[in-house]
Amino acid sequence: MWKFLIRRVLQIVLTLYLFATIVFFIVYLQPGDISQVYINNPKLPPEAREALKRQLGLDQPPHIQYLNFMRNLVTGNLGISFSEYPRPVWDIIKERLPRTVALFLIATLIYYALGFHLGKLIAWRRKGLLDYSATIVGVVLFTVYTPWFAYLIIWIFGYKLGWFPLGKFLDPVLWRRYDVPANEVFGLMLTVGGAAILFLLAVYVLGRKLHLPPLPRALMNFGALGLAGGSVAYLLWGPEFQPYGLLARDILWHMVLPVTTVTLIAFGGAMLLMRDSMLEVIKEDYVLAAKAKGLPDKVVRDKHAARNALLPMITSFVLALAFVVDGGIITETVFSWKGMGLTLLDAVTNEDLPLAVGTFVFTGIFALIAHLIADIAYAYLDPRIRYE
Amino acid sequence: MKHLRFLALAVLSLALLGFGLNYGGTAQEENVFITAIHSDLKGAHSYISSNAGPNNTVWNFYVWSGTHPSLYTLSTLGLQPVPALAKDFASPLTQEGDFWVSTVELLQGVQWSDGTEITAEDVAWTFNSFLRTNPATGNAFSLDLGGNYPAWYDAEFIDRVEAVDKYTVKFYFKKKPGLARWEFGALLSPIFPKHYWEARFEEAFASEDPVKTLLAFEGQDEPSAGAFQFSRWEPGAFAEVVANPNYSFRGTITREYRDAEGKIVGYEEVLPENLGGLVRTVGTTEGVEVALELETGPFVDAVLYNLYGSQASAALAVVAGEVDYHFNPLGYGFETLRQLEETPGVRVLRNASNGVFYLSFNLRKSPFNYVEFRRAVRCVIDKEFVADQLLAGLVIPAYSPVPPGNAFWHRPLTEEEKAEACIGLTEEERIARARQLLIDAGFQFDAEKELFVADPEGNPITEMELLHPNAAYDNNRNIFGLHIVDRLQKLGFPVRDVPAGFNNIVTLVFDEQDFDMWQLGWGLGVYPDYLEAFFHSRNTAPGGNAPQGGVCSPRENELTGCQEEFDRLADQFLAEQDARKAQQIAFELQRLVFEWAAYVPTHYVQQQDAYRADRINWQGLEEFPVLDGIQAGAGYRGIVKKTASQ
Amino acid sequence: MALLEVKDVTVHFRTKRGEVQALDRVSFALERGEALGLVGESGCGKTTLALTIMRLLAENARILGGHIWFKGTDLLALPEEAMRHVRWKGISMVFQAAMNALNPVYRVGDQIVEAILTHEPKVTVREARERVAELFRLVGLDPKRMDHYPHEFSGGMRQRAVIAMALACHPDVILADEPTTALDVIIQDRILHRLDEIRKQLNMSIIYISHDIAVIAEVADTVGVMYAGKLVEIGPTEAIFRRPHHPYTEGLMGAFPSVRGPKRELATIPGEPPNLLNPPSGCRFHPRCPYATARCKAEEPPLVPFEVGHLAACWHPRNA
Repeated sequence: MWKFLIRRVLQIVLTLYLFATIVFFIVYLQPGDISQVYINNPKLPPEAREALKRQLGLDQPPHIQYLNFMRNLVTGNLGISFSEYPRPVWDIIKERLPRTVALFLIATLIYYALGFHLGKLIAWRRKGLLDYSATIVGVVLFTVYTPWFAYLIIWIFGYKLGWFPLGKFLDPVLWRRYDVPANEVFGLMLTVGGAAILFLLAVYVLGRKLHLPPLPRALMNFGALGLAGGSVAYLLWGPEFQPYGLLARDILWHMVLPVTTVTLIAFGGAMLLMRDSMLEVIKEDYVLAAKAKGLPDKVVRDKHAARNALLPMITSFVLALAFVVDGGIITETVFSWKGMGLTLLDAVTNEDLPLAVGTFVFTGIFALIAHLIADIAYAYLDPRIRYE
Repeated sequence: MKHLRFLALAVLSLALLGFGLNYGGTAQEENVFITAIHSDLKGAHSYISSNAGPNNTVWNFYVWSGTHPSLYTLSTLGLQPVPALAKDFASPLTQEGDFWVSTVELLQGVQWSDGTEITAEDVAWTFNSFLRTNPATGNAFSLDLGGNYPAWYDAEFIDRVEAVDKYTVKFYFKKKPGLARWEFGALLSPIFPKHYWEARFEEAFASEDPVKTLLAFEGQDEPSAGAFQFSRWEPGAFAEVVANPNYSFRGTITREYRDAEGKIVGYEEVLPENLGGLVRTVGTTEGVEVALELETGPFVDAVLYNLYGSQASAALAVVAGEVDYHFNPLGYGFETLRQLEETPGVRVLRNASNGVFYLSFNLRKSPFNYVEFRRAVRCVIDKEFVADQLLAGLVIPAYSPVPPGNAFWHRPLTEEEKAEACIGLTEEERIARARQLLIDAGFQFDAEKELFVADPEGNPITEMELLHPNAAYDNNRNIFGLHIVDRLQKLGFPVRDVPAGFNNIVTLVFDEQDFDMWQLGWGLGVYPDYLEAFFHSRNTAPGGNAPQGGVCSPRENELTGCQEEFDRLADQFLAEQDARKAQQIAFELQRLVFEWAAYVPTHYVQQQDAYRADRINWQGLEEFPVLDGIQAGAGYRGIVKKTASQ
Repeated sequence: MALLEVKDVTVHFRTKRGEVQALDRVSFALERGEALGLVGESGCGKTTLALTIMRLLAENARILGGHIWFKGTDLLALPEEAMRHVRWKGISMVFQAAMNALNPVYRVGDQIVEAILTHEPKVTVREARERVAELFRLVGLDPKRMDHYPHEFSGGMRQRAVIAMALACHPDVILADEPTTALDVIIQDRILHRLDEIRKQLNMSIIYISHDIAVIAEVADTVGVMYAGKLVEIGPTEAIFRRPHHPYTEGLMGAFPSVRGPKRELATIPGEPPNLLNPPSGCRFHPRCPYATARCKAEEPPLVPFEVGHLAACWHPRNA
């Protein structure tokens, strides 16, 4: 096992190096550079543009720029942004990461759960009303023009019904009264949420390990859910936790529409993946054997079929988790939730070389690590797979 | 069905979630001017940083402007330089040894928000510090900072500034500055608080990279001399400025006067008691009526700049009443505009924008080096058709690089020039006229193929390219580009349409100078010193602002001396100190630009300010034409008032 | 009444190309403790019959008629939930290609425990695991292997495990579908005999389904021969082997080599089994039968006894 891990880590390092190199040159080879923004201002003498290039190191030949960049990268330094000079790239990422992760992580968890559940159901009972309606709705939403759909959601639920805000992740008129940075509240929310999920996971695994019969196990799980839910509610409304509770509620209120939109748009893919996987598994003899054993239909479906059909989904899910840090440009623009997606887009269009490459590399690291985790999870979940 | 019930439950819980989490909605009872921006601040840790290098964006300007005083300012309607921090106009420039000097006396009693008085020390220290040589590069510090600094503290002209006494400063110029560098230049540059920045500057200059060190300093608590003080930046969400309780100019009354024809002819300012109740006038204030009277506030406790993801989202925020005003540097699309104007309570102000979009040619190559060709191109382009029919009247046809909104400096075309430009002619008439013009000049025309095959010297006409912004980057110029290509092809020239992004065009045109024809645009200042920048021969090298090669082609200059004549006039213009005389020269420069057609301006755009007329007003300013709209004044937050409604 | 009585069971499958007439009026009875062997070529309907008894047919199957009485109850008339209780506890199954009958992600022991706990909820987990250990010993497996995964078992071991699983709830009837096909002869022999011993020990009934007549000969009391969806002959093992009545059965006997008998050429039955989308008229075997007459083509022969306990469906039975 260790040999396997070490080998994979080396692979990751090598891949990352190649990736960073390729990304660097792709962004670098775009025509022009950031100093061209000076062309817009006739008052600026050309010497000023030269001075800017020198300041940013753009007057060096490409291979020198590349070596400097690599040298920094190896020491963990992602460089200084050009378009927000002299703010370090890592600073910018740190600022935008929490709200990106908060939104897209929750959405990913929800739409995978939804897709898993629906896919399992419609594969099991084919050609029913659920099968047709879920498939049609899923595919339509998956392929619909996302900006239009997102604006439609805002228009209906935000503008016409007024249930939710039109966008943004907080209400400035509320927040100006409190001297609390948004990232602090995001950090708290992620911590509390993570702790709650870990707690629920632990209870669930414990229930299975103890081989409890279904009824007490269900009671234990629901009890844990109630406990977690109650604690979170208390944190949000309890007087000792203000104004954090109030501000967190504001963020949650702003999160509902974008999370709903992303979920609706993306669940179709997960659902169909799960459905196809299930259909393959259903053909297996052990599913028939499970039925022959007289097990209840739901047990055959969930414990035997879905458990095996889950395996391809896990890989897809873990990779999707990694790309949470990439954000989503359309969601971020329509919902005014400026995060990592727009950061990358702006960096590339503005020719902010360090920020663009830094963001790419950051996402790349996540993706590669997620790949490794997916492989390990697969081995854990499927006893047939063991890496030498 | 079980799942239908589940769906209903989900929607119901969603609704409940909405009510449960919502504490009560946005509070409009606060006296806050709520605005929308759709791009975030950059380098927002200090005013200094927000103006440097690529950080220098219009969004930074909206939030940060008005916090630093300058010796002069421009009057709101008349756009005339008037004294601000200066007590009165600067003394006339006189020669003193190798230098040209002028003295300015300051108002007494003007304070920074922390109570410190603004003195000549601040003025002198500001200029001298930014003019210092950067030990790391040998350049003037202002040049290395880039952004707004090279224009504000021009090391080419200013040698130093001395504080003669507590309220008097003396400027030393290496060369005699014209209006462009003095009344419209250094006298408008921001003054920094010496007591706040001096130590930091010393630290920066002692470090290895002074620019980087200085720009990295946190300076959000820098004292302000304006109506507002920077308060907070929540990245990705909003920025806030709060009213400056110590604003020395609070209560100032300004009046602008107009003559019988409606032209702004005079300006009057009545300062408040703490500044001695001084009354300052410029121009004619007797025997003419008051056009506009404004009282300086601030009348709101704070200004919020809510960040939205796109122009559309911000416009929706106005429609929904979530914000009072939207900062919109580019115009709205047709549908958005319609929706805004149809919403009760919303008003969209339309003003002339201070910018021009144009077509230009590579004057070094054939056939672009023939003025007849350029005039022929100008003739076949039907700007009125594109503006009214294709772009729904949202742009204005342009005939001069100086927009008509800049009334003092803009030269309208004469009747002969209008005829020369083929205004009012049909497509067929234009093509016929243009063809004749070319044939008369000696271009060889193949009547059968309807193609021009050679220029007067016999050089064959080969395929030419038009570089223009693509639809994603700017659809207005894209449409113009397609129209131009179409008309030129009909005229008889093999033109290839090349839609491209900003970086591609700039690289090819400004850096490599490898192009035939191109379209771009300029954002302009009030003082039209850009007439020199765009056409003087000293700016034609790669990287300069005149990549086309000047005002006429080298060939034509050899024959007529057109470029030399223009250069001479342009230099004279920059050195001119009398506004009237400068105006005459500016008119002549524009005439030459039209005559030699190195630029064919295509259009100007409108500036559109959308706001909730049922919530705010600008004491009547909104009824007047304002060059570049309310957004150019950073929202005029010093005079905005909230109407007591709902 | 017999423990299990199958009467006139007819099953068709709806496919894109038409209706496949997989089983046509199949009838037989199984007594307690009896070992019945069902032989026939691939596709003759043996497995379909087993799945019909368990009510595990695919979605496109149509049971068009017949009864399957198990301890007096007609399984074909039971609602699904009631049938679920019959499965495994009343009738269990040993699957063809047993390696795949075990879920690869769960431990072998746990899968048997699961069956036990489902049908006997009062049993604790510990008791169930003890029972599994016993079953393992019974089939010749090391009880410690209970907590291994299926892929860690060899082929023969997996087969034993599947048998143990089939025995877990003490069923009355076991349907063993090709229980040893994938194994080598020596293991095959061992397992078959073990199974037979267990059957006698527990007084269970077993239906062996196989195309290998040698296997059937070893362990079955009664043998039934199926062809093209029909049961064409049924009788005591010895009678079937010594005096086959149906020409198909006769052909089958000739097709198998005998170790002890004289060396002879293996006879094959000419032709192929018929397409059940459109089965032959009359006797379904008549196209391949060397003794077929016009009557065989026109009329379907009924299954009637020609000796005591020995029935055949033929107009011209052999050895009768």
